[in-house]
Amino acid sequence: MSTSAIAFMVFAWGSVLLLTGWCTAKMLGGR
Amino acid sequence: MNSKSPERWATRLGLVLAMAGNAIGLGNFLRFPRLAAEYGGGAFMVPYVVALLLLGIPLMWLEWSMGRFGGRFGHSTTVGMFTRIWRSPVARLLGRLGVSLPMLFVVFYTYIESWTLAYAWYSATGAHGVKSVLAEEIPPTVANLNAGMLHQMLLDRDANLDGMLSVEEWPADVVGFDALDTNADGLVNRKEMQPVLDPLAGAHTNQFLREYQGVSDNENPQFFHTLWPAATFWLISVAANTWIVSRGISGGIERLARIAMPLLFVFAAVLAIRVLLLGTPDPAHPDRSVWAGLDYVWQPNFGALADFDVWLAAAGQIFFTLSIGTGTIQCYASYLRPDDDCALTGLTTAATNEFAEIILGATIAIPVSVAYFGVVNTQAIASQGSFDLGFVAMPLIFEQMPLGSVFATLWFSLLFFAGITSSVGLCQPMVAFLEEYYDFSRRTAALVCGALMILLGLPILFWFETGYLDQYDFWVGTMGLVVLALAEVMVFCWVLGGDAMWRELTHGAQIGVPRAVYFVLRFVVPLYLLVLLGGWTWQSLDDEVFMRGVPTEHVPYQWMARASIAGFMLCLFGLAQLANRRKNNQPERGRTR
Repeated sequence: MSTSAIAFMVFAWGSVLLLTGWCTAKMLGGR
Repeated sequence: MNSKSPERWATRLGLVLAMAGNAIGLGNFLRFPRLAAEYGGGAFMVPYVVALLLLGIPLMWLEWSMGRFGGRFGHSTTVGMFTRIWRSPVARLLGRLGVSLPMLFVVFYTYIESWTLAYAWYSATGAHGVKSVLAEEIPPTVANLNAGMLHQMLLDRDANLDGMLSVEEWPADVVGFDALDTNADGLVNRKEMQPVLDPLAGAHTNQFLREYQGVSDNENPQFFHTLWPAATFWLISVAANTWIVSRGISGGIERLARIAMPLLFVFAAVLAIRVLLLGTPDPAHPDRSVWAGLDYVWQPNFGALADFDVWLAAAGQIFFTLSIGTGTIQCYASYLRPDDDCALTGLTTAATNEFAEIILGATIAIPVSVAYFGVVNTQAIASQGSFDLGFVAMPLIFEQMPLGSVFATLWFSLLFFAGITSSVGLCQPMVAFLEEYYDFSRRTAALVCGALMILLGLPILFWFETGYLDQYDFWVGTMGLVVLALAEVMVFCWVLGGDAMWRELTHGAQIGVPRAVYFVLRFVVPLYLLVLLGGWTWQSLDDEVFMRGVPTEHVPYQWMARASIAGFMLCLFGLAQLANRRKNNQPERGRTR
């Protein structure tokens, strides 16, 4: 894999994981 | 209006899983990686993220809050929601789209869903029957060498209005082209190009799919002699949908989501890990590896960003993947309590969908195809559409893998779960409409919905080869969604008014919604949708609208498909009108939940 492909994949995966994790934490935290 | 106590989601987790199930479908696992690879790899993520932020998430929030708003007055479909906001014949007309579109959508969606069920069954029982060797399936012919290039030429300009290709314009090094028949003008029919364009045209899994669909020209069928297997699996799928919907929101749809969604994620994760561990399956082809596949999906081509089609494709994918404009999100959200949160739950649904799409979806089909077939062949396979990738290439690959039947069963089961959790959502607006306006019991409404699926779906089963389904896909599954979304924005953001819309959207919110969303929803989203609608119309003018390139013998069938869409819509509009008159001043009669 080229560096640019790895960079984009890591960026995309990282963003999604962060968003999903943040939402889950908020949901579990309740109001 | 029935006077029973309103249905509700039993748990918040169940609601998120049901909403995510509604969004996650075949598009996540087949359409997204194919588009990403085709339209600039990693660079595709730029227009994709822009569309997610400016179109997907704002519309998602709008549909959630509109649904909860409607639910307060006992409305579970846009029929009641639109007229509650805007007492105008235009609102009544547009609102009915929110019932007729998902109903028509589920008619053809269930048929595709039934293929996944059938393939899961055949994979589990080993009924594909033929163990093949890849080298025999894909000989190193012109297909391997030129398929990608040929396809690009097709896309560019070489197909004239009659779907014919000019011989003279082909480069000299396209081996094998001379063998094709040409007419007096030196033109070759696009259909005759299939074997050259499609490296899997001769694969037994292609034959399997074509015989299953009843579109094979083979005089001595290897796998299926009749349409009965396809009909049987289709009827099972229709029955399953009908039964689940008849069980209600918490007892049917939510319970399905609580079982199917975790399984879907587990199956997808197992498959993704298996794919990542494949490495280079054939040492004789070191260029064919899963890493080359991931590179193919994610390698950024920033030049593509200057292409309008890329932005159009990205916006379209966001639309499909989040199930926006189908009327189902409003319907599901109408079963929320008046003070329930929409902002965080809606965002969580979108995030869950993106997890399934970007992390799991992009790691399975395309990378494994590159690992076995190489980049050029994968390009050619992907150019034939998502079905070839999912139902022809993938079974062929699984046959080459140790424990292939297990992985094939997981693959098709996950597609079936993705399909059925979406199709029950598409049934629900019709069921809710019949319950709300005709006082039907849930079971009767579900049975009517099932009967309609069969009645409208039979021509799709029998006339699949004629492109009957394509007309449904274009008018209902593509254009219809954008029209309904545009209507939603118009009614909720403009007729109801910006401030009232904002109050609805932020009411009970567990997270702060940025004020920018207010402006995005009122100004950017309608503009985006208009550009999308115009762009798609322009792109499809020849093939879909004027049916140029459609074989003459198929044209009447495609007109019949259009007539059935128009006929059903007219019938539903008439039924809604009748209900409206029968019950007088429908919006005011709504029950306040």
